Amino acid sequence: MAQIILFAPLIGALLAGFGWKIMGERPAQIVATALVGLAALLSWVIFLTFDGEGRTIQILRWIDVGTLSSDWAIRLDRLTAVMLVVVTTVSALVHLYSFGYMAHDDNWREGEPYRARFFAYLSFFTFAMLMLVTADNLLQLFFGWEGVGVASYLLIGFYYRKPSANAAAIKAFVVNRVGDFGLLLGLATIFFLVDSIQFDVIFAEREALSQTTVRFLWTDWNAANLIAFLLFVGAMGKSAQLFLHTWLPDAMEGPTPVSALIHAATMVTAGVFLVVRMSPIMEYAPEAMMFVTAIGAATAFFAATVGLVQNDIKRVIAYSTCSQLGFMFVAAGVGVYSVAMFHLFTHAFFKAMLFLGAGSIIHGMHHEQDMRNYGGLRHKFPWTFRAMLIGTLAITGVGIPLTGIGFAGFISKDAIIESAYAGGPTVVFWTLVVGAAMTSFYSWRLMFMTFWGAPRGDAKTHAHAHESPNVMLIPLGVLAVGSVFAGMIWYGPFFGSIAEVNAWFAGSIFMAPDNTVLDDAHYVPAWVKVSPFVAMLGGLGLAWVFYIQKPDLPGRLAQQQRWLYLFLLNKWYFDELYEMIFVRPAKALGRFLWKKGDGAVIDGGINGLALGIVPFFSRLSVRAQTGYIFHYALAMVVGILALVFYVMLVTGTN
Amino acid sequence: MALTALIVLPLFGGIAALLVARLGRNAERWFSIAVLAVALIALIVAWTGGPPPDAPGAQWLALVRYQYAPALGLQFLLAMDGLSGALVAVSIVLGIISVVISWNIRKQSGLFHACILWTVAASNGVFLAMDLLFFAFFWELMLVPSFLLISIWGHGDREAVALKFLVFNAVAGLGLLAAVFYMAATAPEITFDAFVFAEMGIPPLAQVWLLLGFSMAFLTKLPAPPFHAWLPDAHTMAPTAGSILLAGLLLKTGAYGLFRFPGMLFPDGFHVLAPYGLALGAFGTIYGAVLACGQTDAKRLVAYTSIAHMSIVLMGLSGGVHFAMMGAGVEMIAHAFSASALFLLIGALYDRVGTRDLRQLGGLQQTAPRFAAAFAVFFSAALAMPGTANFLGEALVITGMFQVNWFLAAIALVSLVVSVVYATGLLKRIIFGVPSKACVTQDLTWSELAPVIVLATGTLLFGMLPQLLLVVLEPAVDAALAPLVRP
Repeated sequence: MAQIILFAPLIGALLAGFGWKIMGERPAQIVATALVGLAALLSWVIFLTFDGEGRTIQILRWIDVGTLSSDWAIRLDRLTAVMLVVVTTVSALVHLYSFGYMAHDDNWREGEPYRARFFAYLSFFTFAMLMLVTADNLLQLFFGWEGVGVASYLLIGFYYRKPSANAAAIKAFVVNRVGDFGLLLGLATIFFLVDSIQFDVIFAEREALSQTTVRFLWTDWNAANLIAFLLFVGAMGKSAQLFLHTWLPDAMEGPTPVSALIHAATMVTAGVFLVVRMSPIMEYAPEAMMFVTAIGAATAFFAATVGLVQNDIKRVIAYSTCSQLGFMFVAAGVGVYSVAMFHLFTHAFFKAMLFLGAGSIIHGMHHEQDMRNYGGLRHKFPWTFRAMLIGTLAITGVGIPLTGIGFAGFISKDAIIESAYAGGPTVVFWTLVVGAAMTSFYSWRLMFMTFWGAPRGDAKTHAHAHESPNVMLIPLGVLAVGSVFAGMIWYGPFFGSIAEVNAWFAGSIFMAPDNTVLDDAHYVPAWVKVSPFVAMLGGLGLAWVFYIQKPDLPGRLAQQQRWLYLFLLNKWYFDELYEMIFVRPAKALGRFLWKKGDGAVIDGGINGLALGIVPFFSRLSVRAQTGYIFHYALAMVVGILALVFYVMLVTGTN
Repeated sequence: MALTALIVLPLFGGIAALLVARLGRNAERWFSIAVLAVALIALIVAWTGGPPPDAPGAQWLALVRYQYAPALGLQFLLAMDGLSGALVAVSIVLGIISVVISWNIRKQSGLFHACILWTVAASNGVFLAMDLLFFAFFWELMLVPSFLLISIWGHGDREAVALKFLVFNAVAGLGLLAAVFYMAATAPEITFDAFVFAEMGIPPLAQVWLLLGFSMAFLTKLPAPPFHAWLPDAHTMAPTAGSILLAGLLLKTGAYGLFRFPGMLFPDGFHVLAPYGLALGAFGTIYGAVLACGQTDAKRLVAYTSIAHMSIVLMGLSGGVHFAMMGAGVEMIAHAFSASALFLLIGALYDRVGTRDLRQLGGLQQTAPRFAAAFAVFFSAALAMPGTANFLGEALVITGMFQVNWFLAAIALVSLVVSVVYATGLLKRIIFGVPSKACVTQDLTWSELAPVIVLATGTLLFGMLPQLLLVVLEPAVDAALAPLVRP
């Protein structure tokens, strides 16, 4: 069954990508969607009936060179089962949704085929992502890791006529490769210390690794710490954490279904998955985990601040994603891996829904994405409005405090904040609470600016605005169900007692015996448990004042705090900084090497050296017409032969 | 017998092609393909013929020895192991591809096809000869047809460029010749037999000098900076078939030489010089990649990426460890596929629009989707995407580098980051964007698509199922490394 889940999307991608000319665009779309739907169905069967017993399903003997030997195999355990459900479900819904969203597109001329290609890319992405999450060893994981990168590149740049889309695609690729640099160093370190890339073998060596010292960058490192740190650098790239986050907002140049699937629900969570998968190593790397916590918290805060002032609806959600990924890393960093997975799981539902809802509005508003040109849309988009409302209630964390009743985000985000209090420095806890308040503010800001108030912007666009077809609304409905109930249903397995969680995950995540953060999190003071709820109310209230009660207030505030406003609007000037530090010097170096190095020194030097010979030859070559050249060549052959014979004779007479 | 045919068939086939061309109606083209097809069969026969009884090692798949003047130490000695067999297969396939994609060459068609066949013959000679006199002879002979290809059918300032190519490589070849003759003269009994040289125990200091002589020829052909100055020009000005043969065969002869001889003949010299090889490789891989980023001529860009990738091969060959050596072997084959394919595609582009200037191209995705897809496949190979043979090669070299020196490994990893910059930059300029003034209207024809599919199959097959290639190379690598292990 696992093989069918893995290969159905690949078959779909190949059929849609190469076969659409034969079967037509629409059948190609249907085939790709049906195959991913099949994978989703089987994933749920596995997820619901899985007994927790980890197993390995070999596909083929893959590589065998020196001490490096590896199968291509599916590692099926609880962690994989969770990821299978997330990936295939969101993917199947996004496939379905794309029937409507990609039906008409102003980026293409009449009659131009693009839909089958889009579906093929989506299915290919799904395959690569499944390869990543089912990996049984690090090499296979890396294949999936790069595969999703390629799919992301192709899909961000899908509107290839737009220069901005091209630039964004390239940026995503390059920044991810920078992260891969760390990841590959980490993989190599593991291989040389353990002499294997199989997860099982690596995990068995965890105690030995924690007592090994390696020399790296002229410093002595604890091996487990070094590995954890390097792998996390890779995760930072893929999951858009601070310093390597700059590609994610730009990636919004891709079509909106892509943003929902790749840049919200699945690919960007691959970094979190990697950290959780490697939990047996991470548990022995306390310093590296402090770093993970710090970067996670910093990203959660940074991205939320930038999200406060963005006007492009997709960018707001993109920064929100970035911020929520920071929350997940904090959970992993303080040692509650199951809670990180919990938020990954619930976040996939409500974030995908928010993106698809935003896509529905963008679709109905003729590709207008600026929220300043929205307003009062709840009458035009009644169903999208309801879905987005549920998504917002979920992401901001609405629920009944001190009980287990609430929207999915309420349960999982509060679990993270409580764990951060129990297991992390106090400053991390407060950062996350402030982050939660800002989450609430920007989410409600988005809702108020879009659905409430008077229509702004182009009146004609508003007049023609229309609710999306059912094929787009059904996926929203399915995701809405998940956004409401996913937290409450799976509370126990992800955030129950240590015994409960360990029993459910059955060894697929590892918590050291002395790691009691998960239990401690249940016994934090009541004010800690209520604090995210209060923060949520604060954000909601402030957004209500700003955008409903006194709509002129934001503008006045921006005038007054001009510097702060510009600082946030320009995303803390990261892009400008990187341009100055990395991009321009690199370009200058390239130009310098070419003009001065290759041109003047090497070419010039050698030509100078040969100054005596070359003019002689070139005098000949001036007259050289094709017939003569053949004679020269012949002369050369004869010359070589003569030389060879001469030497043979000379040496022969010795 | 079959081994001899691998050289003799294309050599005399080339001469025959000159005559056959007079028959007209593309006779010389079909004739060349037939000759190469027979050679391919000969390769299969030689490969499957069972191990030769008189071979000096278990890795040899076939061996031919014919002593025509034993008193003078003169003999004809060919031997094939997994690596040379694979390279010969590549050379024959690339020969056929060169013929197929040059169907529109009208100027002196007979000579053109003779040159293709001679290039194949000479490089097969280099890959197979274990008698160093013949090795050196084929080494020099190889320059002639390439020189003709560039100077007669090339573009732009073709004669000067051809001459530059010839002077560079002929001068560098003198180092090889001198070293070979010195060894022959100092041998107890006059011989050019590499197996004898390997046994005779050359003094360490002499080994260093001799290896320097060999390296002079090999590094120039590879090419490793700063001996590369001939390559960008030669690639840019050569006709498409010439570029394919240059990238696919000539560069590989340099790598093959560095694979075969340093360990076998000069183990002590290798230990002295290997650190310099590593440094040169590390420098070259960054240098080539950075320069590739700044190019506006598509062909020149690919030429610089060749420098970067062959420098990775040099690192792998200088590492002296199993992983790196395996990686170098894989990367040689992988690069032969991917670089040839890129030159083929850029050549096809140039035939259609008359320019290779990236600033004037664009929008291929829209006007010629097959073309665009082919570019995408081979650029993912150039940036070492998992699933391509190039990834396998580079990953193994880098893995090996970690055993040697992590700093060098880190440098090789940096080149992977830079490779994304040039590859995505080129894709953006050629495939994406709005179709420009110089817009391609005709997609790849079947005679172009078929070779592309063959090369893509090789790239992806060995990338997805690495064992297919690794089992072939492993005995050769083990044998090459055996003398390097210090007692």
